[in-house]
Amino acid sequence: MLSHHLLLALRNLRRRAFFSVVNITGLGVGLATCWLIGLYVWHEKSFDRFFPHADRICAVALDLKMGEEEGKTTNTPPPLGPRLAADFPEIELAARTFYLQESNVRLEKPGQAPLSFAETGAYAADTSFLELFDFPMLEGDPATALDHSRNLVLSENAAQKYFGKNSAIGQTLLINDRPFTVSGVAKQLPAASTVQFDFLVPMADFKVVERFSWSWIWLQVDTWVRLRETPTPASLAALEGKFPAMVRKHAPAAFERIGQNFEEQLRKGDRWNVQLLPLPSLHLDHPNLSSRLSTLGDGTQVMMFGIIGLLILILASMNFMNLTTARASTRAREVGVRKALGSDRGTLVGQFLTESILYSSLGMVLATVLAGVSLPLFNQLTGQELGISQLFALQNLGLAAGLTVLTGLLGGLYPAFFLSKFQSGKVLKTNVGSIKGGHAGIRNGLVVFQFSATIALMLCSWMVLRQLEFAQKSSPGLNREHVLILPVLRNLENPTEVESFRQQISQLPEVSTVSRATFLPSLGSFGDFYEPEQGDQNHAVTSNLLLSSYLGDTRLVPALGLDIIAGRNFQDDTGLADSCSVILNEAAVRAIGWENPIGKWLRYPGNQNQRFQVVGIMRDFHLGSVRTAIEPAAIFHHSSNTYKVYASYLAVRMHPGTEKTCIEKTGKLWATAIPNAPFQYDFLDESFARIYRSEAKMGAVLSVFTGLALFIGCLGLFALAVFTAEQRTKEIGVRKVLGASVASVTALLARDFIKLVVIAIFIASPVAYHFMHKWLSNFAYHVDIQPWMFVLAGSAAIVIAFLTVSFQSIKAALANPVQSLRNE
Amino acid sequence: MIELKNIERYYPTGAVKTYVLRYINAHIAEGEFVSIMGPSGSGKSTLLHILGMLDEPTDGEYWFLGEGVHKFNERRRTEMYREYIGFVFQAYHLIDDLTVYENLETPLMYKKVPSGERKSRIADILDRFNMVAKKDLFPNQLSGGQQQLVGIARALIGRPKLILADEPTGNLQSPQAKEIMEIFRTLNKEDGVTIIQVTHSEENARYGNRILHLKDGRVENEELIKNGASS
Ligand SMILES: Nc1ncnc2c1ncn2[C@@H]1O[C@H](COP(=O)(O)OP(=O)(O)OP(=O)(O)O)[C@@H](O)[C@H]1O
Ligand SMILES: [Mg+2]
Repeated sequence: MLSHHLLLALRNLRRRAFFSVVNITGLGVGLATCWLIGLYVWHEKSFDRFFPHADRICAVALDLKMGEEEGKTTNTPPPLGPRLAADFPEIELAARTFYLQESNVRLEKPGQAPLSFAETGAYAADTSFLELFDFPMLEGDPATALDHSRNLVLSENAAQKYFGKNSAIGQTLLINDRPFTVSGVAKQLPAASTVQFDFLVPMADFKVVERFSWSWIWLQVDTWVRLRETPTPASLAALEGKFPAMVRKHAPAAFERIGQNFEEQLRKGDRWNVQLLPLPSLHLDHPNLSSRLSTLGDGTQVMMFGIIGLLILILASMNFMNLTTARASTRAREVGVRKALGSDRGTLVGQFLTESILYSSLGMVLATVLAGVSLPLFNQLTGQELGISQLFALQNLGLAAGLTVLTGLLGGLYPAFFLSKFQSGKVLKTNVGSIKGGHAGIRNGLVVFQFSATIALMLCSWMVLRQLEFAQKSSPGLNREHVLILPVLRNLENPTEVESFRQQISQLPEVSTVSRATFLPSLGSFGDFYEPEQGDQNHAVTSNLLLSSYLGDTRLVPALGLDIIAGRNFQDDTGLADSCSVILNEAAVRAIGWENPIGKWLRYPGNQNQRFQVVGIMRDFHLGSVRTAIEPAAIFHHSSNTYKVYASYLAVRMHPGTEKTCIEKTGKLWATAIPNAPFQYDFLDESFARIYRSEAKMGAVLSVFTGLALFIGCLGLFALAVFTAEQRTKEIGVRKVLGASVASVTALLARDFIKLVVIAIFIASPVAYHFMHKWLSNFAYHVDIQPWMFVLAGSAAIVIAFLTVSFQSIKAALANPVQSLRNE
Repeated sequence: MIELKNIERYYPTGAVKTYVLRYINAHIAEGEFVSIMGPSGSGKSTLLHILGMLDEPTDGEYWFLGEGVHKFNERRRTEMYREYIGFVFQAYHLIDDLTVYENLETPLMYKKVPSGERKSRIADILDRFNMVAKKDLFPNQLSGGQQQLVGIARALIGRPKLILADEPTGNLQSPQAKEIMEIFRTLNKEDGVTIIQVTHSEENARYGNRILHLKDGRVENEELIKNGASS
């Protein structure tokens, strides 16, 4: 029976070639999309599960509220890890890592030029780190590889990069000019690993962590623990319940050193809670975690992709359903005859399902080709590195087979049951040709659904793109364009060397100003608490203010194009004129509550109550993402020496249009000033754009999805139009004989479809509004949802639908009436 | 074999009921050959559809082999088609997507006849109907008469115990029609197959043992044929 069904299905496929092509194309596109997205979702969900003890490993996080600031972070202070391991028997191991920022790694080769790269994957780690994760090692012993000073563990990739096929063990690499000896090589970690590293060196070699070992405020390390037993939610909560006592015992001394009373802060509503985040759910379940772990994913986004992928597949299946039920009129008779010949319902259902699964299988064949071809684009969209071999790995082929059957059932079940239900008597009683194509209602419903989904996607992706454009381009108070950024800290530690390098660059004719600063907007800032001095009884001001600040020179304001709206910029760099000056932004002034800020004073408890006088106010600008409100910010002068940070940049403002030559010349200057490090540069606008990588990804993916949905919807609509025109050939012929014009016949045919699209607009608009509104509320600053967007998207949908349908309608209207009447 | 008690069939047209069949009472025994005659629109096809369980009466009872047809579910009906009934449609109703050969094969497949026997039965009947050369053509490549022949062959091939034929020879030349009637007679006489046919031709009707005359949905009179089939 099956081979008979198959034979019939194949013949139908050939005899209705046009509809078959439409069906298979639609299904192919839908399946390819769903397949690729399935792989992506699976990849995201599989994060960290490969670790042998994944279920016992937790990241240590802090749930903090300090004054106005609150949030959850994996940034932890140095003493926390050792304390956890010492105080709680439930915890088997604890290990900390300290990120070494971008580092210069160099391999000296006698008699040759050294091999040198700027590396972003270097960390200092506790000796227990490798053991805690049980990283598989190619060479070296994980238990001891980091035990000795100046040891170095490489990733497989890094070992290959510097030593090729030779063994790396015992070799020496210079990291920021300090020599380290390779004591181990770790096997390449899967891409689905939260922890990624290329270079690991012993924590003990980085004195800065040691120096802050008293501090519960310096949140510069990441801490991991491994529990003795796999935790349950209850056991985890019980363990976490014991942490506050530990914090209250050890943290207050540290807070006292910076002049704060920990207990009193807690009484005022502050929080300082230690939490454990189990590794298996770390990747997707903590969207608002602030973290240095750059691999964290976004569960909502993954789910959204998954849902949209499935939606595309459903849209494609709907085309199939639509065309099958549209053909029901012709097939109803067949069903009736077969029943009178002794077929039972199950056999008929089997026949129709065989047909739909044949279509979905052919769709899958096409999907395989499409998926293979679009893989590079897909990788680019999702930031993955899937290879063809992974696409066709065994479990993925299982996924593909599952999808094929699912699609076959999705598209085939309804028509199968609908058609097999026909009663012989009803459909056979009358003569040929007079059976009406039933279920137009459902078909219309499906078209409305398809177009609603498409229009909603259209609106949402447009909104995302508009917001992205706004976030990347809108920059009040700061001129992001034509600013070259040079990271110089690790390369030139001596301030006079930096200064002379700065002067060399500023002499280039392409350059208008060069400024030296600790941090720059979009690249971080130094945050600490300051105490504004009181106003008077009438105008109380806040006593404690968290300020994000930069240490800069006179030229920082012009180099960044900052806008001083009151007071003045720093005056000169030679003397110490501005060592006690500060420039505040408007948000800081608002937060403090000063009426006339110029001339007022701030105290810095973090550095012996150093005093600063406000000399200027700058217009608010975005320090980072538009997701968060603009925070109080300040610029201090280098000569204040108020704090030390391990960051140093040159910001080079170039004359527009000279970027290329400017970079070339700067590169040459770099090569002589900093011969040991490769030339590195960045642009301020691009650095800002990178903050919105996740939004850009979402915008790109949504646009692609929208395009696919539109394509599938139009394909279905086109086929339906062809079908309707075919069915109404006789009517059209008669109407023309009676004097109807081509235009009126076209309108007659197109009108029904356009009506459906209009209904879809009214369904899609509120749905899209809901999602857009929800998404935009993630941003402190965002574009508005405008009524004209709905009008424009709706009109676009109508125009596209009309073009799709009218081609066929006009063709039908132009046909010679005699011909169509003779056919009947 | 067949017992009809007060069968009625009406269509609701607007507010009034249009009766197509009224007070039909009939008894047809196994082995009979009955012809139904009557003017166009008198309800012949409707009656035959009811007999063939393709349609249901709106009132009255239909007993088939002592069982009430109104109690049949879809599965039981399917069994009936497989075991007892062969139907020849007035409008042929061949399956467009199947060749002549496949159209003939379909009922055998539903009856789960093994493929070897299917082949020989089809070869046999194609031969009997002179259609061997046409076996790979599709219905739309056949003339009306040829389609009708295939429709008849398809009804016969399953060796049903009851043949219901709605104007089986309406599109055939008289010698050909005669051949079909002869086949019917042989089946009836030699194999004891019960046959009920609708026909416009007095001559064809006389092949049976009884003629039911329908008019406006009622049995107007019943005519027994002396030298017809045995009863
Ligand atoms: N769906 C329907 N609604 C209303 N009336 C119907 C319907 N189907 C059939 N009829 C009517 O039932 C009557 C009987 O139809 P039937 O097909 O049984 O006639 P017939 O005797 O077979 O005619 P013919 O010799 O032309 O085949 C006709 O008058 C027809 O108009
Ligand atoms: Mg009739």
